[in-house]
Amino acid sequence: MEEFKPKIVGFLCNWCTYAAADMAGAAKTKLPSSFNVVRIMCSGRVDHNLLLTTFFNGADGILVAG
Amino acid sequence: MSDKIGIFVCECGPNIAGRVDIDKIVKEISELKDFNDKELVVKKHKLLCSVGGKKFLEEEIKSNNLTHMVCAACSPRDHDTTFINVCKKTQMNPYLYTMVNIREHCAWVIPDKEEATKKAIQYIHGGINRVFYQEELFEKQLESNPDVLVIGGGIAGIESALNLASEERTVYLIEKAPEPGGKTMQGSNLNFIRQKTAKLLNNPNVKIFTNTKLENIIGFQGNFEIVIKNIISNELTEFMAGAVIIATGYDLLDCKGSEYFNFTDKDDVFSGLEIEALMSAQKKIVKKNGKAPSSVGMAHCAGREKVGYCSKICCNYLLKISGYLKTMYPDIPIRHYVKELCLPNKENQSYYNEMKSGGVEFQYVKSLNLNGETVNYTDIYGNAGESAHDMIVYAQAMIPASGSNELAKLLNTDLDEFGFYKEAHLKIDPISTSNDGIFAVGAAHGPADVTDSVIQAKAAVAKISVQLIPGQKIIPEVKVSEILEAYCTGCQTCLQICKYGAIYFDDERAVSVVNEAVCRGCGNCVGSCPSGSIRSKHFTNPQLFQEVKEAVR
Repeated sequence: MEEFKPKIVGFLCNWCTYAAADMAGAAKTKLPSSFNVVRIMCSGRVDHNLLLTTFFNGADGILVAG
Repeated sequence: MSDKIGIFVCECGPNIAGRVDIDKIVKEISELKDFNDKELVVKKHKLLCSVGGKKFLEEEIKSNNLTHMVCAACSPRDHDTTFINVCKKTQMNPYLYTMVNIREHCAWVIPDKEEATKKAIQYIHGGINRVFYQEELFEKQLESNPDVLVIGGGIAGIESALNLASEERTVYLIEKAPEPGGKTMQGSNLNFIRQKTAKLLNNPNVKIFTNTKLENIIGFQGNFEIVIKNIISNELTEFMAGAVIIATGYDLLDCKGSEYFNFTDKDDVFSGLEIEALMSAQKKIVKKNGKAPSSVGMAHCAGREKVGYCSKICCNYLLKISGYLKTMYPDIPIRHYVKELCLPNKENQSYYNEMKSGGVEFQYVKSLNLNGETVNYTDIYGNAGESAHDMIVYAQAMIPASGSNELAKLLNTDLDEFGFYKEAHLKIDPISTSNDGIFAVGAAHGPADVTDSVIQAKAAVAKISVQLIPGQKIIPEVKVSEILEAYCTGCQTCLQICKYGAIYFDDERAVSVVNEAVCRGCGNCVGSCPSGSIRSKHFTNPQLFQEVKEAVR
């Protein structure tokens, strides 16, 4: 059986976690290719509509970080 | 005009090109089937952010008549503005461009080149989808008032006012006391503050209001409507200003009669400022009966545990007072009771060494009790000790100025856990507050000495000087929230949520309205709106859905 690679969407705040993800990138941290970053201007921006649509589209997990 | 989109992939030297297959990306993006009805221009470049790269983009946009653009490069935190500025030189609206990060979130984190290439294509695909859902946005220009309100006439306020006032910029300085000068006026070295105050009074571009407090303020950076009130005559004065500097200073913790400091007014126990006042009035330090002291105890850190922070300036001024005493009475014993000595600034260590070698004693203690002029202490080994002196000087903690709560509420700024004005960012933006156009300097946002206050005042002046240039209009944020009136139920949830006070309620139409000049586009109102009537421009749900759709394909 093929290995399960969960598709994860990360909604990252431009000012903190997105910057942290940039630093993780600059440090050449390894990340699975099934992790996807979507930049938002504040994690408080995320509403139920965005979360549900993400799941409906086929995401296995969502990371809201800010 | 039909849509024509330019997709530019940056090699970033070897940074991106070494870890993904750029040619494969260009080829596969060109062959994407989703965009059959649209014309794609897909090109790569060695370094888009370079002078040559920017020129290349500008020419591509112009010669191909592009309507949209996607730059696949580094983080938008690095070069979003760079490419927006390129767009501004062309016919394309800068908000019809988007940046895709294939460096930090792709090339650098996915070790397998083939996988990273696939991922980059996926991200770019999402970016192309997104850009078609983006809308043209236009910058607005607002009239802006260059004048400044300074609250507090201590050294921080005076320094701000003196550096800001010019023929083109009036400074309104309000002070609740009958004259400017603040705590510095209570010091023993009055020369510099008197010089500054004289300069202030002679400056025709500074309007000083003493016995005055802030009554009301509404508006935003560049356009504050201000009402001040004379606390004696109750007279109100109204004016406009573009920025506000909070320089309200500090108060001192009242230690008299507290748990560890048991003394009355009759005892020869003095605070640092009381000694300064003695020095200033009589040029000598004497006991309350007018006689010279024969043994002096210096109690550090009064109230430090209670307030929860070090007041930074007190060790130094107790050392200074030791110096005065040594000069006046070379033979009397002077003993400091210290929990933790704090000597910041480059000149203080040598002063401490001088005092120590001159015979001033430093007793390190775990705890300390004052009973009149007698000190009971436990030393660092746990042994109890008692010393009788006939004069005690103590350093009490600096606390937020009285009235900070009310003022913070009026100004819509945050206070920290101690009650001082909170910095926008402790390290990299320490003089700004959470509210644009409002700055806090000096001891208003934590213990500060005169040097700190002057530096901070000058920093705020520099920020205001570039943000509020006389005669220049200000351009507020474009990517702001927007409330669709038809869907707004008037529940006012967003008014509670908005940290910037950018939303107001229109009673007549019973809907919430965004003040675009104040909104910073965080979108918290969007997340909180129960009726879904708010959209944040440039980060709308349809735009984000496009990115999501591609991310999970």
